[in-house]
Parts: sequence; structure tokens; C-alpha cells
Amino acid sequence: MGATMSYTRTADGWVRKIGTAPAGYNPVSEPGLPPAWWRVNKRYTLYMLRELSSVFVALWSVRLLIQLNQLRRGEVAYDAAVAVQRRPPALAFHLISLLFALIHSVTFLIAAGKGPTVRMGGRRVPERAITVGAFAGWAGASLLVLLVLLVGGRGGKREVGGGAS
Amino acid sequence: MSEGHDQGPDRTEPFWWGLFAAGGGITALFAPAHILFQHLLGLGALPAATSNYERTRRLTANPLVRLYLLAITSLSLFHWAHRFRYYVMDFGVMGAGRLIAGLCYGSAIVGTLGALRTLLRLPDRET
Repeated sequence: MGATMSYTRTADGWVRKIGTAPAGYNPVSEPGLPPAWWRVNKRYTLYMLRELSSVFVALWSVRLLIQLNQLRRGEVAYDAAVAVQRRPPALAFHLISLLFALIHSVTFLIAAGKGPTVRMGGRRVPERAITVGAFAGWAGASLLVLLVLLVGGRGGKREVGGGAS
Repeated sequence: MSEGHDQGPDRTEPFWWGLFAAGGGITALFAPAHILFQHLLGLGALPAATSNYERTRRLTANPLVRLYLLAITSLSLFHWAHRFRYYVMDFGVMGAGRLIAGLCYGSAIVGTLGALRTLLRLPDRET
């Protein structure tokens, strides 16, 4: 992070200024990471938010499991679990989780195009094509979740149809 | 961040990375819609199955739905475990790498066993 890195050539073009070390940081006497290094520039901050997204998605996942366990215990327990979700703390948690899940989806699906080198007929498939496919898959998966939640469990005549398709 | 790798190469890394990638993929595709349509809009604005006990019971009787629930809950935990293992290094915690990794993956394994236990004991279609 020296002065020589004020301009860096990247795949996206020239990136100006990696950032200056926080005040008081001495890389010689303290070879570890400087305190609050992720505040040095936006890329570092986005990286830390991206990594943090997994914490919220995992917490949501644990809450979902608790809800399913209440389902196992019966109607009274399940209705209580749903009632708790309508309260402001749970709504705030799910709203924050949704924002982090969106950060995760966008960053992960963009990264999906950058990982593998896919070849078809000897030619490399462009990164953009994979990313477009990943986002189309996201749209399709989201629509599927919506449909299953809207149609699922209705009536009693064809119960399997709602969940599977 | 190379200071954290002072205990020799971790040969199990590719295995955990595979679970991390699988978890990242499934949560990237399904989590935002699942949170939005079940846990936000589904509580009032939309007639989502999950806000009604009977409909949820019928929906989760479907083996594909249970498989999905197992996959997203378990793999999201492994995804978290792999990220969090290195996230603590980003905060300057460089020692005890193996212990932290064990705690992270161990939590994900316990969570997976809990998910299996719950999903296998959900009520069947007609009970």
C-alpha cells in the first residue's frame, strides 16, 4: 500500500488510489492488519459486507429451522411462531437479512462467471454469458419460490402438484 | 493474510470449499425470494402457504420441498462456516486457525443433523 500504487491497472481499467494507511499504522512495527482497514476504501468495505452476508443468511436459516421444528410440534406452536414473525423485531431482522441476501446473490452470481473457464466447441464461453445465465437462473428460482408459496398446500385433491412443480 | 497459514496446508480445504460453493449457489438463487415471500410479504400482503398451519403441513409433506429445505439450511451453514473461518482473520485474529475452523464446520454439522432430525419428523400428508 505504498505511494507507488496510486494507480493500478485492473481488468476494469485504471483504478485510482488503493487508499492511504490509517493514521498511526506502522507496517514495520505492526506487521498485522491495520485497525479498521476495511474503511480505507469502498472495495474493502464491500468485501467485508459480502462476507458478513453469510452470517445473516445463516441466522435466517437457523430461524427457519426453528420454525420448522414448531411445525413439527403442532398447530398451536406453529401459529405462535408465525405470530412472532409479525412483530417489529422479527420484521427488522428479516428486512436486514433480505438486504444481505441480495448483496450475496449479486456478488456471488457475478463471481460465478469469473471462476471457471468454460469451453464450447473449442471456444471460450464469454464471462458475460455465464453471468447472464446465472441471473436468469436467479429470476427463475425466485419465481418458483413465489409460485410454490402461493399455490402450495391449497385444497386436498392434488397436494403434490403445488410443491413440486 | 498469509500469517494465518502457519500450521501447514489444510488438506481438507477443497472439501469444505465445495460445500461453501454449493451453499453460496443455492442461497444466491433462493434466499432473497424465500425471505421476501415467506418472511416479509407472506405474513400479510401475500397469501403464502407458510402463514397457515394446514397449508404448510401439506406443502412440507412433499419430499422435494423437504429436500430443498434440507439443502438450503444445511448448505447455508457450511457456506457461513467457510466464510466466517477466514472472516475472523480479517479482524486480526491470526492464531488458533484449526480451532476456529473446527468450531465453524462443527456448528454447520450440528445444524445439518438438527435439520435432518426436524425434517424427518415433520407430520405426513394425512395425520
